[in-house]
Amino acid sequence: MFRPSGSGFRQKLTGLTLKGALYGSWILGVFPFTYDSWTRRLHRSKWLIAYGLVLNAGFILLVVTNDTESETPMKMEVFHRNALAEQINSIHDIQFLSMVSMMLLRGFWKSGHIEKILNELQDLQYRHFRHYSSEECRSFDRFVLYKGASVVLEIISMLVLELGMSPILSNQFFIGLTSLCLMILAVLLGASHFHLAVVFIYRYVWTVNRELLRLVNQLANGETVESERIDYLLNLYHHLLELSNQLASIYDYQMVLVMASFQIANILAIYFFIIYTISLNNKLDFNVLIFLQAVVINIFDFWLNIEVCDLAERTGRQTSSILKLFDDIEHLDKKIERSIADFALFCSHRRLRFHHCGLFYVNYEMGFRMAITSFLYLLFLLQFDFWNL
Amino acid sequence: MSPNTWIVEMPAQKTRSQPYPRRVSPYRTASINRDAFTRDSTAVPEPVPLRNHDYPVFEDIRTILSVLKASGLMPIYEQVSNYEVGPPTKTNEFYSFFVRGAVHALTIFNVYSLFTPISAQLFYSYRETDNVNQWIELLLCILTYTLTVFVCARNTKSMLRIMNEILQLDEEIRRQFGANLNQNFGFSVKFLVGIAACQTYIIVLKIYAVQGVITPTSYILLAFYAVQNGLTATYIVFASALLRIVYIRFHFINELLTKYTYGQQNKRKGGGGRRARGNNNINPNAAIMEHFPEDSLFIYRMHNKLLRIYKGINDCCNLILVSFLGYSFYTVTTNCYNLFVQITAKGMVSPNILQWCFAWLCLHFSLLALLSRSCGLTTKEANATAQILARVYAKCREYQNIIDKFLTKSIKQEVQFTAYGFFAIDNSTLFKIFSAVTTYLVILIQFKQLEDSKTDDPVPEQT
Repeated sequence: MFRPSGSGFRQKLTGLTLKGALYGSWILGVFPFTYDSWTRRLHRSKWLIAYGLVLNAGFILLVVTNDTESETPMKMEVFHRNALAEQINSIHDIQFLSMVSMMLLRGFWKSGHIEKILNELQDLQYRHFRHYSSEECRSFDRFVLYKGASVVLEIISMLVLELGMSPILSNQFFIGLTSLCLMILAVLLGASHFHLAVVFIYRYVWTVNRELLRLVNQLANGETVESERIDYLLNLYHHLLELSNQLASIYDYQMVLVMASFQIANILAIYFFIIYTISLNNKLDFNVLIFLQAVVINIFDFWLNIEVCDLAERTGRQTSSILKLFDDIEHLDKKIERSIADFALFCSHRRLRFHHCGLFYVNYEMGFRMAITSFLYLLFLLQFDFWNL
Repeated sequence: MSPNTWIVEMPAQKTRSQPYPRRVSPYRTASINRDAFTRDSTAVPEPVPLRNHDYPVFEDIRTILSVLKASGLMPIYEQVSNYEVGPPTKTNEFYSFFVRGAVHALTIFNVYSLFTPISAQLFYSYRETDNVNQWIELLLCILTYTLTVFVCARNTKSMLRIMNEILQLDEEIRRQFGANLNQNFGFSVKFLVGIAACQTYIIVLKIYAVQGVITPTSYILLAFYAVQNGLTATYIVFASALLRIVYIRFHFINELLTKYTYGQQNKRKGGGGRRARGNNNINPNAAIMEHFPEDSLFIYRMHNKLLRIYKGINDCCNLILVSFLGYSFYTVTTNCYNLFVQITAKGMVSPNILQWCFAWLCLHFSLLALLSRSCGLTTKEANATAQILARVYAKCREYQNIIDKFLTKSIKQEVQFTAYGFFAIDNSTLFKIFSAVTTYLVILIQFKQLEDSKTDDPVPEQT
């Protein structure tokens, strides 16, 4: 599964990113599985779960005990002006820590299901999709690379933010910073597992689409096509949808929490930025630049989460439009026609969508609404600030 | 970046350009029964003899196309034949490139002058918030236009592909039914004139409003601002015209299908029955109905192609549409706010600002209305095909499986014209924009009241 899909530089880089994510997760204890290369299966390991629990609990404890962050002069200035900002900031801190612990705990709790899904994905790859070349699937490589880049950028921006804004470089600060970075890395890697699984499902659906398109072309050119091939593709599609639903139901709380904390962080960061530069009349300086890059990277990562689900959803919709191409082929065999009708009905009643906690579907529409809502909240917060003046 | 459609993404594209080699037009000779098309069918009853190269394509939207070509937003394509356009020649390509380069250079200059005090004379107002608003508006305008230029430059090839697909479709329709699907696109010219008049009026108003001698930089800034606004608006009109073209094609195939619906067939039967009284053996229905299998295949194919064109247009414009809608929303909000301030201000109503606001509101409202109406019409027509087919279903038992084929694939498959997937653009968009404008208006007014109350009784500095 982690083998590069082609020989190009891009594919090699993608393979490297995937391997990096795998080993990183192993080291940080968020991937409690061992791989048996003989049976090609993953096995849940109790020892790894215990290791992950202890390690991450240690990180959280270190972060809580070595918190020197809130004493930076920039923050003090902002909080001095606006008490509300301080309150919101502390709420965010608590939310963030609870998000981390909830996410990790749920990850370990559901590891049995995750093991099953990953094994099924591997089975699919080995049994069915091994024979199809996926070299042309550029979006797959792109999204894997984006995710890798976003994780690396998040960590770098975190380091820059903490180092750039903090004047006192003590031992305690460094311990706190290291544990904070490792904790965030663990969270990001945990979130990236969902992302990568979605990207894999996207690639399989893409392959199914391509095969369907090939069949249409064959039929249009007057060649014969066996109906079994369509049934086979439908079977695969069904399997993929089933997997995606399970995946969404396992990762829903984690993803909602991660997205919520990203969103809160973004709103807060822009809010602080506006208070700092406009209300307190500070000139644009190095600190502000550091701040802005963190916001930009945060938004990028948040948007990536939405974009990958939207990509999969769009690919699922394309299946329906490809099936429509079968309409205008003359003298279609009865059996094929029935298989295609089956496929079409299946597609229209069950779609590839990611529904989190029964709350919302993750796609561009929802992303847009979230952006609009956060903008409104920002305005309300600013009104409070204005009021305080 | 671009939302990948299966057309772009799938490797089998090459084979799809000639997908149906076996299908030859069955109705090359116009028969009496092929009068299914009502509109314009008398205008060109027979295929026009090929007068190569002298029948210009897209004659209907010639004016708007020439404006866009001159401004570098559309490629200056070569006409290969009556049903094909080719890529632009090197000189023309260079021209477009040059124009776009000049535009970007001007944009950089403008942004520079916006951030420096050179342009300060254009911003005069009683309050700080108003100036900031106007400043943001200018910036948004520049952003929208720059984005339009970039996206157009990137989408040159896909635009040509869409045009070629439309032309191919026309050719097929003409071959099959002898129908010429031209329609009067008078609205585009009217809109062009309206936009130009509105922009001139706004500039004149602005020049009158500025106090003191206007520097050349301000003139350049204003003129370029007007041009940017005008061209963005023109592009929106063009997109609407393209959608209207697609709408006419959808409408054509829907009309074709309507002929087969239960109601129409019954009418025919009644009329035919009266005429053929005493001769019960002849059923005029059957003659028509037996063309259905062939026609339905044609219609399905056309529908698929039209959907592809529709999606192609959406992919080409969606970024531009998002930014235009954002810009338009902002402009409408700020102008409504200004109007409110002017009306509620005690005593000093400035006619200049009132006119300025009204001009902007008119321009943007009409553009938004045009865009949402065209999108709504086209979407409705595209979705209507399945409904019409469902009515045919009741008519004839023997062809039910042909109809089933289409209907099963259309369940819950409504097409939508979206702004980058963020929201669907149709008539409801207008309503949504209005409600959003109201919300933000209230917030802006709250801000204003805060500002006023603060100037009235200043709160002592917090220590």
